[in-house]
Amino acid sequence: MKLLREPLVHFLVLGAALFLVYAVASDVFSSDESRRIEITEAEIEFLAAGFGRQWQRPPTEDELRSLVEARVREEVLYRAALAVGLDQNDVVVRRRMVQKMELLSQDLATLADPTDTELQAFFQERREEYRFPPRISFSHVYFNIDRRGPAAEEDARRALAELRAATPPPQRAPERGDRFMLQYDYALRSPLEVQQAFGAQFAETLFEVEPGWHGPVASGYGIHLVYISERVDDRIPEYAEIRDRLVIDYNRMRRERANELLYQGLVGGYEIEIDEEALQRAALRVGSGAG
Amino acid sequence: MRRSLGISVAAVVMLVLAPPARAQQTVGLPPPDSTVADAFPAQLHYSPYAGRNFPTNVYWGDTHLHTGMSMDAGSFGARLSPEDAYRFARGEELTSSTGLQVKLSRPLDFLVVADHSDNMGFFPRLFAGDPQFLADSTGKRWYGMIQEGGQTAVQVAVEVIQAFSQGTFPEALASLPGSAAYRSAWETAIDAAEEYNDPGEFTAFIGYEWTSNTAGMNLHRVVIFRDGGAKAGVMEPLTTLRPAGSDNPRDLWNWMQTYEDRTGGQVLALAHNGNLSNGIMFPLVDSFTGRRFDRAYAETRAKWEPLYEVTQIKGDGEAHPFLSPTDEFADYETWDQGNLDLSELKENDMLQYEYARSGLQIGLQLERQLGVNPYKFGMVGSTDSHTGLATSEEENFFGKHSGAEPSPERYEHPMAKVGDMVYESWSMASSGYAAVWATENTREAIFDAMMRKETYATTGPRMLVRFFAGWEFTAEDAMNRLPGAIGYMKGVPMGADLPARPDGAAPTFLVGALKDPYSGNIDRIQIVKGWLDDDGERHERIYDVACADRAITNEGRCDGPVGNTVDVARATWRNTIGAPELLTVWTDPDFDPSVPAVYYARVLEIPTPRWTAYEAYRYGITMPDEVPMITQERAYTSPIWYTP
Repeated sequence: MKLLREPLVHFLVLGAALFLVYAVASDVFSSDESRRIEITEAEIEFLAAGFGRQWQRPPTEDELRSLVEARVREEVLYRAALAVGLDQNDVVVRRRMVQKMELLSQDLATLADPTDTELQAFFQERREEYRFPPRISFSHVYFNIDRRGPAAEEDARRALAELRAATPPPQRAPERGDRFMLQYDYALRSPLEVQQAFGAQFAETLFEVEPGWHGPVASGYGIHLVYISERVDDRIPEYAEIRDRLVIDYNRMRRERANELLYQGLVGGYEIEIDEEALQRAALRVGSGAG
Repeated sequence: MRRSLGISVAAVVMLVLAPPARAQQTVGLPPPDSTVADAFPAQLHYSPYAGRNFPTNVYWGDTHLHTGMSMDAGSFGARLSPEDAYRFARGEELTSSTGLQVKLSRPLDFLVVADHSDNMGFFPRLFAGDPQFLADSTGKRWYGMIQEGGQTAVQVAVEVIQAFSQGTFPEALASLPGSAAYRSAWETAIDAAEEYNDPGEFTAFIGYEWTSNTAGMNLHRVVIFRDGGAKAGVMEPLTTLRPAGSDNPRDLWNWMQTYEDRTGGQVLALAHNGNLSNGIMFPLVDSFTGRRFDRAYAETRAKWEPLYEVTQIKGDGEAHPFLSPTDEFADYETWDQGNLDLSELKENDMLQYEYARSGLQIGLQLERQLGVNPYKFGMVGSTDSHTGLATSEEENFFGKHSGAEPSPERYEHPMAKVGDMVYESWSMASSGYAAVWATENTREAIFDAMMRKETYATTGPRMLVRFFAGWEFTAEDAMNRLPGAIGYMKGVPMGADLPARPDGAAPTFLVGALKDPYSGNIDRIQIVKGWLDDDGERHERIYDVACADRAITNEGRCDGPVGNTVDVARATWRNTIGAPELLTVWTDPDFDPSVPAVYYARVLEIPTPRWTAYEAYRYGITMPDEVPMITQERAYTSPIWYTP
């Protein structure tokens, strides 16, 4: 390893690499056509347009000239790199090209807008995935354990008894407990939304019970009394309610399928041979090595 | 994390048999006061707490996420697209690029996909019903098949690509002008955001990252659009390579100005990773010219950069132990080896120009010099993940890039390596998120809140933090049932300036924090003050203003640490220490009305397991002693400024 740090070694390696580049490049450049780099009107317009898209004005002559110079430089080095095969076995180049291939096929797959018939059929096949969650509206009274200590649960039970007994229904019930920095009232929340605000166990409890007073219920914050005023059951939505979402999902499905079909369509054209023995050997080596 | 939720009510009560809340000012709340009721007389019904016009919601998001469209992310193997990133952020389960199933514990409310503008590149778009295309017989046949949809349309892709590879692609089609047949990655990014933006439910912002990185000095900025695709698509993002692009932030601001003039839209920029800039993120002199800044620099920077991304995977940028030697919490996920590509090592005198805390104070110095404060920024956290996955929870951390997704080996593989220098994977910080106080979940409302800096950063947990300043908050306000209402009524929120000072007054602060129900209790709330003396020298001081279960000493600090309940071996902890919420009113005891000052709140959680502890536990591995296993998560609010 020490050898690799020697300047002389660096020099030799670099020299060898440069020699290779020149050798191959001069070979390539033996034909006149491949030595020709032409910056055409179309190309110049393309460069100018690209600049304009960033700056909302055409480039000055100086700017355009340096864009062209940069382009020439890029082209020279690019061709030389291609000539010596630097595009080969480069993981970045390969992945980029795969990405382009997939984007191309995806685009083609979604060029035509989906019809209602297609979307309806798509919906019918996966109705359950689009089920609207149940929702509840509730208010709560919070008892801060940190503040009240062991008495918190007893306080909560007592308050619950009073609240249940009160006729007409109590005013400003949350004030029987402690201050809470989130909200006291929540309208039409889904299980996920309740879970997000109070934690999973609290949400689970609330969606198992009928409207009315409940508690004490534990959350990530402490103890609560909860009044559920309304519950809307879960349901499968009407097609018209979710058409926009169906378009997005249907297109995504088409894109995924296009990539898979593209691959399936192409892979048949190749003879693929995998050295099974080498694979086994390599796998074993790793296995025993990791011991 | 879930474990702490699974405790029954009785058990919760049992756990706190120790004397409760000794030092808390708010033991046993007073009877309901009438302040707020009087303020909202129309609401004396069953639900008196609904319907006000100030922000009552915190929206959570990531302002800085890369997908496979970013060149570097793609080369690390990220396969997820901007579309996947939005789906994941809104709560869907996905397969990561390395084949792991992954889902957020809770959805995010918004996301900015910010792929690098450099090398965004062009993607082939062969035709879109172009009349020239239809003039060709093959083109027409293909078009027909596409219209047919389904399998037939897919077949076109195969045919087109085969035609290319076999050299049988129709000449008439191949000779169509190149630019028309290509679309930029920018268009792809915009399309994805437009598709997934769902006002009221989920906000998909259009954005990009301008990655100025000359000589490895990190001056990166994320640009966020308030607008939809119709405006954002008018201009291509600014790149960094001259002459089309530029690595100077002044040119980015020009670009932004041009965008707004041209489209009537609105954009903002936020910088990140000053810790990797080697002293040029918050400089006193212009690093591009070596000269003093002019007023125009200060004005434009302040105008376009209302926020700073203070914490993310590549290190936390709030404070550094060298700059704040008496701050026992300053050394948090510190990355200070050198610049981004480690081509230049760090020297101590660079640090002051890299961290948010000193940057805010340097802003005060420049304001004295120039009349405008260029570093008047609010705070957000974000991931800067290059995986398409906005994860920053310790127990669900998918890493910096797709080569650093969870695996038994990831902690020991370098995240990046430059010569002998290494960024260890275990040193990745599972951080952070942006919290925004907004009136609704839309691009407009969240963007506007960002512009007024009503935001805070967290290192991952979603604790709720309120921070107000005014001249007349009193101790009773900390007992009010609606701290938000009283805060807006008597003061200004985080990100604002203190209003004109009444004679003889000292600034008062209403500050509170409510724990994340999924995470650790709150240890303490601190107010960090920075100010200048008469000679223009910078000073800072930390005040502990609310401590769970402890008194505050005469020095203004909590009486001892909060303790530690973390069981590293099993990657668990118990919320038997700390408090679920802290709220207090604090008056600056050392206020000098003749000098400028800047205040922000820092909220600390109790210690909890770091992501490395979860990984060690789940894969049954032992990591070396140098790998930290315990973390103390935190939130940083946007500051409030006082100007004499």
